[in-house]
Amino acid sequence: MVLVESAAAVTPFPPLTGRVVDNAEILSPQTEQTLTQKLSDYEHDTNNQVVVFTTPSLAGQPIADYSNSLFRHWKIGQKDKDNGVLLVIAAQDHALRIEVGYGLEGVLTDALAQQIIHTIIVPNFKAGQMEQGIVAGTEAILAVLGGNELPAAKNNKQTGGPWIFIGFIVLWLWISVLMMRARRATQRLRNRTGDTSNALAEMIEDTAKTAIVLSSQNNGGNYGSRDTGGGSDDRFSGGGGNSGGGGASGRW
Amino acid sequence: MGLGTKKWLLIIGAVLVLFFVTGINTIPRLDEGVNASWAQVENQYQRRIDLIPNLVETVKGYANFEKSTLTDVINARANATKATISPDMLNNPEAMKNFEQAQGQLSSALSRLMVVVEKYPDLKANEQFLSLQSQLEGTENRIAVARKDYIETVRGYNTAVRTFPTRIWAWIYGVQPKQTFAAKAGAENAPVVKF
Repeated sequence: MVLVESAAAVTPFPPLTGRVVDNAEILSPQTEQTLTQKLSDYEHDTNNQVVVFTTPSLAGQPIADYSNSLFRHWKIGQKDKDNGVLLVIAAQDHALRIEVGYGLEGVLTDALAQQIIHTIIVPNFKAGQMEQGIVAGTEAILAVLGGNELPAAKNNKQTGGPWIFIGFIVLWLWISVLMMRARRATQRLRNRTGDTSNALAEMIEDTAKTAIVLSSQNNGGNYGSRDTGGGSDDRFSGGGGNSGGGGASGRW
Repeated sequence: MGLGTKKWLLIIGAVLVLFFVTGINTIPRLDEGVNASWAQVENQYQRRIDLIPNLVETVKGYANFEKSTLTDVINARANATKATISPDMLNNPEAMKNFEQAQGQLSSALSRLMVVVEKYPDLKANEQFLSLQSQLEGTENRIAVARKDYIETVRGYNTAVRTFPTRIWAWIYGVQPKQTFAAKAGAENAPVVKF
């Protein structure tokens, strides 16, 4: 045991080069980029760190041990929240694992992780669609973490689509109403008191404008708001998260 | 000559002061670490114990499921429930041996159950069972991680207790090295949960 453990400790871990570390060269550059972007946006929205890792081989280590050690080495998730998830795919071993940090065990339970592996990832892998399996699996992980139902195996894309669309319309209506009201209020004040309360009127108008600018910023992406994110993930690193072996493993 | 001894006394005094200032918290700190990692070990074993009633209920529902396998699991669970170790007993080899034995028996009873289940395709397809099975597998994995962490913290603690200068503190506190897991017992009985 002592020998095995020290040997495992000596095995160098691959560097965490980004949110998607595709050492088995499964993903196309295009997919890798969109997936990275998705995970980056996701972290900005929720603070949860999800990392996808593919490796050609585990060099004889059980995938559960390896994933846990790698998770701890990379320290995925925030330090006091342990809110990280690591998806490991070992191509030659035909083994995969979803390793879940302490903090997310309650949301992404072992049973759900198992379900994602068996109903979404493995069927794709068995059909030879490695890339699609990884993308759909990652999307399912994000969906479950977001408190959504597990997407069905078939239409695992765009489950949030219509809702996001409806959300936008509601937001747009709300902003329009706000603008109209502000304008009316301004008008009324101007009509009633002439120039004396122009200052007040302008203030109301400004407030409305600020609200609009703010809400459009919130929806229009994160550029410039935080320097760690955005398109390039140059400085991406783990946040000190820990895992106690939660999650599930599978084979294909 | 007088100056020489004075110098030496000063050096010895400084070393002593340094020793007392730096070492006083080492053993208690490591001790807390061991207790915490032990708590995690017991938590995970407890979690496994908690899963078993549901598992037994689910399996029981299947007509003529081998009774002896279930009884073994139930008995082993009862034994494992009794075999707990409080942190101050961690230096007791006997207590640790009992704990290992009880948990090991439960592990092998569970793995036999899982082998028998292979013969019941209906049960294997049962959603409740599948969920329990994945929880059980997850728990076994957490147990493995907790054990590994415990071995690691005990190694640090025992090294401090056995080596200078912390050894002096261990002597002052009157503490003993703590028991760790015999690697083999766990590895031998680790149930193979198949899918």
